[in-house]
Amino acid sequence: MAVGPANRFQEFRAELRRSEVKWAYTLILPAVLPLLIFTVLPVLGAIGLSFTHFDAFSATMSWIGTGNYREAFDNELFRITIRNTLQFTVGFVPLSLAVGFSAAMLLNRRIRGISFLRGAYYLPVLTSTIAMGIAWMWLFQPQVGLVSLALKLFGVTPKDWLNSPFTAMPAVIGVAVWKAFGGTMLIYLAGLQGIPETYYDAAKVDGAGRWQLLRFITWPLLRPVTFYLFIIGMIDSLQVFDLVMIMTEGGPAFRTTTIVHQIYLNAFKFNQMGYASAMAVVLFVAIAVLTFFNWKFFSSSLEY
Amino acid sequence: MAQTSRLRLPPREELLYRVLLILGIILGLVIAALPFLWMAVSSLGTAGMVIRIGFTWDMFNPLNWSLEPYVVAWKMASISKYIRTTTIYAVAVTVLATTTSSLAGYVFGRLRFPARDFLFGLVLATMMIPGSVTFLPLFILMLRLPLLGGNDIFGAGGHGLYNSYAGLILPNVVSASSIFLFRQFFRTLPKDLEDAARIDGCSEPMIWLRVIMPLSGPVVTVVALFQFQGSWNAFVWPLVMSSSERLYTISVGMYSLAYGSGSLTSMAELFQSVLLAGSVMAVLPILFLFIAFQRQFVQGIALTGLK
Repeated sequence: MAVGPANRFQEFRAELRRSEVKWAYTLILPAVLPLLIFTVLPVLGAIGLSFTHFDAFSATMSWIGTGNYREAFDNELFRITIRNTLQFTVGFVPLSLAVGFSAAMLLNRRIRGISFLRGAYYLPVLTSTIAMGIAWMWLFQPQVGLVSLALKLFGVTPKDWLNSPFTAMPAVIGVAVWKAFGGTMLIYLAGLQGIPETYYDAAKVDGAGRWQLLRFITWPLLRPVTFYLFIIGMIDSLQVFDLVMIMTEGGPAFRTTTIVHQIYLNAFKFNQMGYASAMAVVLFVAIAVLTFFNWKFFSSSLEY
Repeated sequence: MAQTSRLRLPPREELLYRVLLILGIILGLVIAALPFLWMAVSSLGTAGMVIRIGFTWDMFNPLNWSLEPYVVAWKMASISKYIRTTTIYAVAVTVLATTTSSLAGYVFGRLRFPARDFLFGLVLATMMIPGSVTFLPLFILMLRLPLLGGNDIFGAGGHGLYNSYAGLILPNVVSASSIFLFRQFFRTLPKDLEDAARIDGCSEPMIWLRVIMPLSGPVVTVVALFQFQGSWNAFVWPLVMSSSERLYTISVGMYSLAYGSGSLTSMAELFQSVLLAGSVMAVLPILFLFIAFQRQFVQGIALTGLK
């Protein structure tokens, strides 16, 4: 059979298809393979390790079933750790949302220098947590730190904020809010810019004041943004680590130790890799549940 | 909101509102910026002046400033080493992750092949797995990689990629959220361009390099900036992956200085200023980058919803 032009065209198309598929697999390999090896495999590894007693340096491993989980939930320190992490979450999430929302309301206007102001509010987010933790330790210095000096003006007696059981966690939360609110602000700003101006015009025709606009238009319309930030804030709170490491090392007397801090200590200071893995799995489950809620919410109700 | 300020209030209340607004903005600015200024000024104190006296207006007089803490930090406290390591690490991660992620974003966004949706779902799923869950098993994996760093085929005997640049960099050669960002952007480009290139006999990597990437300057910039910023500040992974000062990133180095495993504790007078000088040096590159690319950073946040 003679090869007609139509046939040649089909051959050409089939050739293109084959080449497309071949290249597709080749080009995603350098992305998908590392994700499998360095993200998926470690999760499976953590689950597996959590049922063992494992020493990474001598590479000795013994199967102990759910022993690590039972140990964790019987352990006083683990309960303290969970309590601390929840305390951090309860303090950090509403505060970072409130401060971020307030900042967004303040800076959602067209005035000169607005991008400088937004930049200044946002800068703490981008900087090294360790470096800024060191700066804040200096600000919290008991005698000559700026926090002590400022509070003295209000008649508060200076104390060793980061080493006192009742002030260490609030101090860590405060710095975490300082470091995060710029990000919350930017996401709220993006949300604010998505609200049609006609809504406000209509309300103003009906005689609504500033407070009513905020209460009945802005806040309800930003609810999806708030929900998203709420979940993301919780996920971040469950993983707080850098700030605790640099500012308090979990102290005083375990008052600020958190889940990830305990994972780190058990794995790398006490060589309890199995026990640490069990905690990592608990953390993973908590994050997975939160992510699921987030996804569920946004796949069902994205529309205003 | 420009529209709310057009509200008509009685002049007195309008004035009060304006004043409160300006006070609020200034308060926010002070809260955000003060730690940086305080850190910078304290880091310039001569020989322990700051530690002894605390706050004085003299601190703000440039005549009293000294770069001594910076010299000590750079030379004796190994900050120069940390900055070097951090630069190598951050540049390598940025280049590699931006390349692999944009290639994958191109494939997922523009090509048709079997199992595409499954594989892309897998990529999305990995986005929800945070480093704080994986760093421990990942450490064991790197320590026990077969046939590397003195390990035998079962991964025993040596130390794998532990305490090496390869070990630091490898797990970060790709970023799932960047793949997602690239894919979303590439999908908006017109299909005609690459079809034309394909008819002309261009292979897929050539189309990616010659057609797609030149049109994607803004998104490449956003991804590269966040990759660089993230790896410049990285702490947990470099902390567990390095055992020698040679491989300390700036955050790990500053942590080790603060908790006295460096050579600095003997200089108590200068200690605080040197620590703060090191912190300033850790923050400065990011500050410059932010000043140069503020628009891209802000757009990136709005685009991804990442914080």
